[in-house]
Formats: sequence, structure tokens, C-alpha cells
Amino acid sequence: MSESWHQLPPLPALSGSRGEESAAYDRGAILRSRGVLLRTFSVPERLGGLGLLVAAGAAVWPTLTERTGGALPCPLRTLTGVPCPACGLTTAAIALVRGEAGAAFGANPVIFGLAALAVAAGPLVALRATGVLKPPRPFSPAQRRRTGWLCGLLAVASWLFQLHRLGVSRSF
Amino acid sequence: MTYPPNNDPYGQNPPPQPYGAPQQPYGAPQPPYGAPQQPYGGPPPGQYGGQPPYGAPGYGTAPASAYASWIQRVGAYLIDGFVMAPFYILGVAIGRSTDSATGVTSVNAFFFISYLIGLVVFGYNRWFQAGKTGQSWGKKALGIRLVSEQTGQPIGAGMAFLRDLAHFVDGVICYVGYLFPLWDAKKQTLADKIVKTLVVS
Repeated sequence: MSESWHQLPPLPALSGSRGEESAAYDRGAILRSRGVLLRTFSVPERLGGLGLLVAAGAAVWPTLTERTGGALPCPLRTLTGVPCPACGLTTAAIALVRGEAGAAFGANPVIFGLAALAVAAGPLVALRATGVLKPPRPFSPAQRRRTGWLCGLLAVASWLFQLHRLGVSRSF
Repeated sequence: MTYPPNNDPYGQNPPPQPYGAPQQPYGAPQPPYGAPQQPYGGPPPGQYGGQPPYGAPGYGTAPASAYASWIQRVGAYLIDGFVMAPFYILGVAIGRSTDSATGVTSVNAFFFISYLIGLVVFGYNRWFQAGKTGQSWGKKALGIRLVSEQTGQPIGAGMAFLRDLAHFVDGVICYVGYLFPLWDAKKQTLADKIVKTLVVS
């Protein structure tokens, strides 16, 4: 990758000593240009936040679709007839916020992973903010690679589930 | 892809060797000739050599950039979308008429004109404005910028248009491509990866 325009890491805007800056990085913090020390959220925290947004959306989504007649179809399935690994997540999310766990599992079990992160995100952020837990540290390249492979396998498993659920596998 | 990315400009990673860190003790074994001198993730040799130290005059006011967060990008996208809303509402309000005899609703020329104006405004904002300055109105409101991954400069109207076309890839997989900034090392969508762009704050 040729990235010639940025040969240096971001320059801190705070005028603190290099030691403070290094310690801030070690605490998992980032230095922002407005002089405010902020911590960057970890990927599970971000996904948990997304899960909360999805839960809020799923709570109002049926009302919205009933009034407007709108929907959120899978573009891949609409175009080709083949579902994608994320198919069924809207149905699953709506079912889960209604407490219908069986229906949610039947639509797309991945929603339970998102729900787990959504439930964990709040306490995790709170425990880290209060210093009970250490702030998150970036994954090493190896950890990141491993997680990427795991997520890839999860996507393949989810895709097979959707192909089976929507009967595509039986047509071959 | 490696993480952190090589020469990552906006990465929020610990610097490889802070000042004041323990130095190699005297008498410690030296690396053999020919061994790699540069540890993984460290800056290229001489990179810091010509730079004034941190805290020196000038650095205190230097803008520190970071990748824009997913939520900032969503906010900017929504604002850019809402820009078209008045034209669509106008189109629906004055561009439809109902035949009194049959009761059938049809659209007239105002409907298409309103939609066309909406599309022109969208194109000006998302492609011309964002391509020329790096900031559509939504990005400007959220304080983020669209830049080329290679040059750090705005990408131009043509590339901004192509980037929006490439968003098809983000959408076709149940919109999961739009979620990529949540976990991607450079917080890029798939469209960003295709046209090699970054959104920075």
C-alpha cells in the first residue's frame, strides 16, 4: 500500500509531555484536536451499541411498515433469489424484542450474538469508565486475523442456514 | 490486511517507542549484521529524525485527525438524504392528481420535475461538493471529510459519483457493507475500499 502523504502517526494537539501522551495511549485513549481526552470504543462495544439501535428500531419498525407499506428487503435475494447471510435479521430482531425467542432463532440465530453484545455493552462501558476493568486495547494483527476468520466462518454458517431456511438448498 | 495498517495516518495505536522507555542496556547482545533493524509496526528509519520533538512550538496547534466514527458517518448520510426530502414531499403534494370520474391517482409533470430537482441537488451535494471540498453538507455538519487514501486530498466529483455507485456493494449484502466502519481498521465501507477513500474527522 502506497500511502505517501502520511508518514507520521497523528500528531497530538495537547501540549502535554510525551510521557503523558504515551501513557494516554497505553490507557487505550486517543487525543483529539479539541484538547479533550477521549477513549475509543472497542469493536464489541460498538457492535453492542449497534445492537441497542437495532433493538430500538425493531420496536418501532412494525408500526412504521404498517403505516407506510415500506419494507427492508434483501437486495441480493430480490435481484437473484439467493439469500445472503444477514437475511432474516429484521424478522429476528422484531421477534426478539417481542420476547419470541423461538421465532427469532428460526429467522436468524445471529441475532442472539448481537443481543448478547447489546446487553453487555452498557455494563462493559460503565465498568471500564469507573476503572473496574481496564480500557480496551487494540487487537494484535494475529488476534485480528483470527477474529476475521471466525466471523467469516460464522457468515458461511449463517448463509447455509438461510439457504436451507428459504428452501434454496432444496432446489439444487 | 494487517492491523495496524502500514503507515496508518489516523490509527489510534500506541507509538512504537515512547521517549523515556527503557533503552538497550550496555553489554546486551547486539543484533547480527543483516538482521532487520526495524521492528514491526515501527516507523521507517529516519522518519522522526528531521522532525521537531513533540511539544515543540507548532505541534500544539496541529490538527490531530482520526477516522470518522460510524455514527458520525450515519448522521452525515442521513442529513444528505434529508436534503432531498422537501423535493419529494413537494412532488407528492403537488405532483399527483386524482381523476374525479374514475378515482384513479396519477402523477403529473410536477412530480417528475420535483424529483429531478431533488436529484440535481443530491448530485451537487454528494458528488460535486463532496468531491471538490471533501465535505457534503452532512459531512460538514458533522465535521468529517472524505479524502483519498493515497493523497489525503478530496477525490473529485467523478470519484465521488463512482463511490456512491460502489455503495451498491455495501447494500447488496443486506446492507452489511455499511456496517463495516464498526469493525474495520480504517473504518471504511466496502465502497471506500473499492475507490480507496477514507472519511476522517
